Amino acid sequence: MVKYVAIVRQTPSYGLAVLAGVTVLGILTVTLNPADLDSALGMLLFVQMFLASTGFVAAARRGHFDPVLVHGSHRHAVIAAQWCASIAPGALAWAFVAGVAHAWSSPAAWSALAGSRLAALVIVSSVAWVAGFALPRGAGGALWMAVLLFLLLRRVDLLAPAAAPDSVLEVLRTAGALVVCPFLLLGPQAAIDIRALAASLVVVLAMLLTAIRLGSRLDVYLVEQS
Amino acid sequence: MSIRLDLAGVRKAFGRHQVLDHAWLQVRSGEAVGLLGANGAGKTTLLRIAAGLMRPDDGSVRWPPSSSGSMSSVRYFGGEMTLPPYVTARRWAALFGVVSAERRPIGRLSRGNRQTLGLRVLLSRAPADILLLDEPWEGLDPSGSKWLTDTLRHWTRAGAAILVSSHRLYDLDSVCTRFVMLDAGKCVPVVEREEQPRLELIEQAFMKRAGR
Repeated sequence: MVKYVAIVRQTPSYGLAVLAGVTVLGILTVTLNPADLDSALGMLLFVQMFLASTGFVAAARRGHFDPVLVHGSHRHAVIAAQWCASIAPGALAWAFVAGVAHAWSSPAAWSALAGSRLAALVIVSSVAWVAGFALPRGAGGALWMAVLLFLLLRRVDLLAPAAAPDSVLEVLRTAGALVVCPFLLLGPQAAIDIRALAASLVVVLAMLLTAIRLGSRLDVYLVEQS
Repeated sequence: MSIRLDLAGVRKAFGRHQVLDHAWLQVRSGEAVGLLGANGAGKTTLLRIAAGLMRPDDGSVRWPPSSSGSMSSVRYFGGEMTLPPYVTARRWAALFGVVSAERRPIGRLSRGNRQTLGLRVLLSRAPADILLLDEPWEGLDPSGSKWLTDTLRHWTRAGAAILVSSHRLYDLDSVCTRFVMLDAGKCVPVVEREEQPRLELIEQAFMKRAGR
């Protein structure tokens, strides 16, 4: 199944080319200035917003997953494998850039490999995939970007994380801000409350599981390809 | 012969359009059933429900396990347009353990070659318990049609339960052991009579049901 979803590749060639370019640029940035890892990671997050939005439903309704969805069993596994295949190229590029940064003694490298910066990648990969679950490829990323731009222009106050939230409501509001704008996790780490970060990851996990659950009940009727 | 596919009282609607309305159908091992019906009658919907890709609004679909108790294997092919166009033919075939020398992406092949590829990948392996085919002869040249017909006969002899839809009545007649017509969402058997050639009979049934 993993082999199947890997070969019926979810990432188009132009997407991989853009990712390769951004990865090279990120490595150059890190090698020239190891303290500037966040610039490289920010670019990768932006690309991942679009790459991870592979549109499971659209591909399934073109019949591309028929051989593995037939019989109606193992649907959860197929959808989970498709999520893995969708996020894999961006995640590998992230690991590569963070690994190079670690080799060049970047102060933020460990956080990118196992800390809150890695949480940013998990949030982007999952939310982009969920947002694009029932949309055409890349549309989830575009939709998310539109929401982000709207908030930045009209309600930027909603995206401001509370450094030390003093109520449950504040923790949840900060968690919501992190889910909507995971780029906030690339900033100064002291500003992010650990409870809000944990809550945002719980929200993302719930979104992911809900999408997988809904997808397993999906009616895979055929839609003609244009 | 044991029942391998059992659709009982299947109902399916898209919005207000009732596509299947208490459709009953059983396919036994070693039997090839031809599914007839006008365009839009619901043949593809019935096949996809039989394949477990769609869920009926009401009724049930079962694939009774074989005598050994193992789960029935189901293979389904919905036509060349269901193949991923950006995967090379060679890689697609290799996924299923089939060898193909064609290196071009599937989307760059002709329609007939895509259909042939999809069918060869599906049918080259050892026969499954249940085979579901949607318009399999579409786009095939005469040699491809003959290969498909021969292969389906082989599968039937091997004990597979086959449900196949097609508008090509001659090809269907050369493979199928019985026929059902989808009419107003129901599976209506095409009754065979000794005195009338079978092809003529299914043509008549189709014309009558299709209202032509």
